[in-house]
Amino acid sequence: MKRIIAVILAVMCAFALCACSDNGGAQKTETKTEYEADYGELYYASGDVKFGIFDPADEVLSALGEPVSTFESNSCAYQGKDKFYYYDGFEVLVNDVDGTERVTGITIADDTVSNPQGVKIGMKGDEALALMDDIEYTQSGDTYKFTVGSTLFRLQVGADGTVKAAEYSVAANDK
Amino acid sequence: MSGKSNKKLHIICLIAFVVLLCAAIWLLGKVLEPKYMTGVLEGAMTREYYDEQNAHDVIFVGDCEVYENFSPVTMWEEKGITSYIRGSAQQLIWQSYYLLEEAFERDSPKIVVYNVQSMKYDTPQSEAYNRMTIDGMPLSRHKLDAIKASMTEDEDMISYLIPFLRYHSRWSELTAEDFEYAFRRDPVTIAGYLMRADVEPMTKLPTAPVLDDYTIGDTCWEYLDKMQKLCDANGATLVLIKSPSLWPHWYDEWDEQISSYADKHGLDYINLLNVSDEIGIDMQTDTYDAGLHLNIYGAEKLSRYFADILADKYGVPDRRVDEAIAADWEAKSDAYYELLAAQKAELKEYGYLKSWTLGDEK
Repeated sequence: MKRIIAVILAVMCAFALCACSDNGGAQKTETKTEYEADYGELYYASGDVKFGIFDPADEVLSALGEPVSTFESNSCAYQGKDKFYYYDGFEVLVNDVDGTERVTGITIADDTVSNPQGVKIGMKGDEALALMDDIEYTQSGDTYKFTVGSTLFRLQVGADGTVKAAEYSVAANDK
Repeated sequence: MSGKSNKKLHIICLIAFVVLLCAAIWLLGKVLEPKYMTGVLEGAMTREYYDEQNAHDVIFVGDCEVYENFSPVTMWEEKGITSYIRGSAQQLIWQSYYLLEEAFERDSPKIVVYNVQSMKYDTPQSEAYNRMTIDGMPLSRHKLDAIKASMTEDEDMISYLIPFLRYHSRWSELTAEDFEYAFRRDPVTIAGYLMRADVEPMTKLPTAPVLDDYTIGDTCWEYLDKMQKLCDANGATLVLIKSPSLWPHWYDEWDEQISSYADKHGLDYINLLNVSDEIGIDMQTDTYDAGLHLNIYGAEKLSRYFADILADKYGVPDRRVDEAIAADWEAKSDAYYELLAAQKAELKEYGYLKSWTLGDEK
């Protein structure tokens, strides 16, 4: 009898422990992770401010100054928040990453700005690829993807052969 | 003889022990599972449907773009339409399918409205959203199928069936709410509609992100096929819609694929984004989060517009002549206006909805 009870208790303990790694449901565990900038040449620059994916948002935003406007997108049921900061010609996306707000996206929004390599919206796709020539890329349809460390730079070329979109994002989110 | 008695006693003790253990695990699970009665209300929505007393002629399934954007009370007031929104946060198409399958067992809708926004997801996304949709379903083959289809890599079936296994680590976070609502819940919606009476005007939407592939996934098409077959088998008409929320971005490439599918399968697809002006939606006054979701003022405009379509095009009957149904909807209307008054009072007092949000929106 004691052995049977012991077995039952052991099974229950095993069940209980099998879900011990995390808090329940919508609750989140915060763990601090140290990041080192690993974007190499895949950074963006606005004036003297150079920044890239996973840079601390407070430092970047403070260096960039007051944005033209902002947009906050709460996901349904508060499962995360996307914060967009609009500047002249580009947008910065900020998310909470393991308890720290970090830059997770940079989008070149129009043809008034270019990235440090000189890529601009509206320029010929071939020219844009040539400007990025030191960085390896893969092609997926009309999209060219350059990856360095945690950063993915996407270049989308339209049917007319010109650059339609250019954006920096988190490489790990590219599924 | 005494040996036999001892054995009997041991068996009785063992059975009693197992029963008590199971009861304790069940009881602890009830206390420990999240109640979603304040702040994140979306997790409490699924279970409310089972309290419905009367049948519905229209069932909506889908994500926040249905449960925030359509008001069944308005459709009742306008055209006497009985409807229910079986929506939940980031409800994926397979979850919509299994919720619908379950709904057909207890309800007899003539029209099923599915919002296609979630077809951008072809794989399980998030445990938190899965839990909010599935935990409220009673144990059935529909729930088991929904769990199987929805589990992310780190999840297991057993923890859905025995909530204690998933939520035992919440013991240190328990509040009075967990004990108060261990065996009951207050309604958080009116016929599935999650009301928001606050206003946050739309400013500028972000540039739509570039996607590598705009193709809607095979799993989504498979479940849409199943949904149509399910509706056909139950004598219901499936109507596809895209709700007029402006963010996240709805790509033209997705829209073309849905339109093409609808044409091929003889379904109606109504992209309500294209008729936002006709509906009268003004994103300066009709949204509570800058264009993602409609507030009550936008939802009422959209519901009046859609009620006309349901009545005129699909012949959904006016049930206001049925006394029992009318009484049920009168109670729903009362609850609706009480809730609206309560939200307006909070907006006046605090400037934001303290009791219906996490309070960090302004």
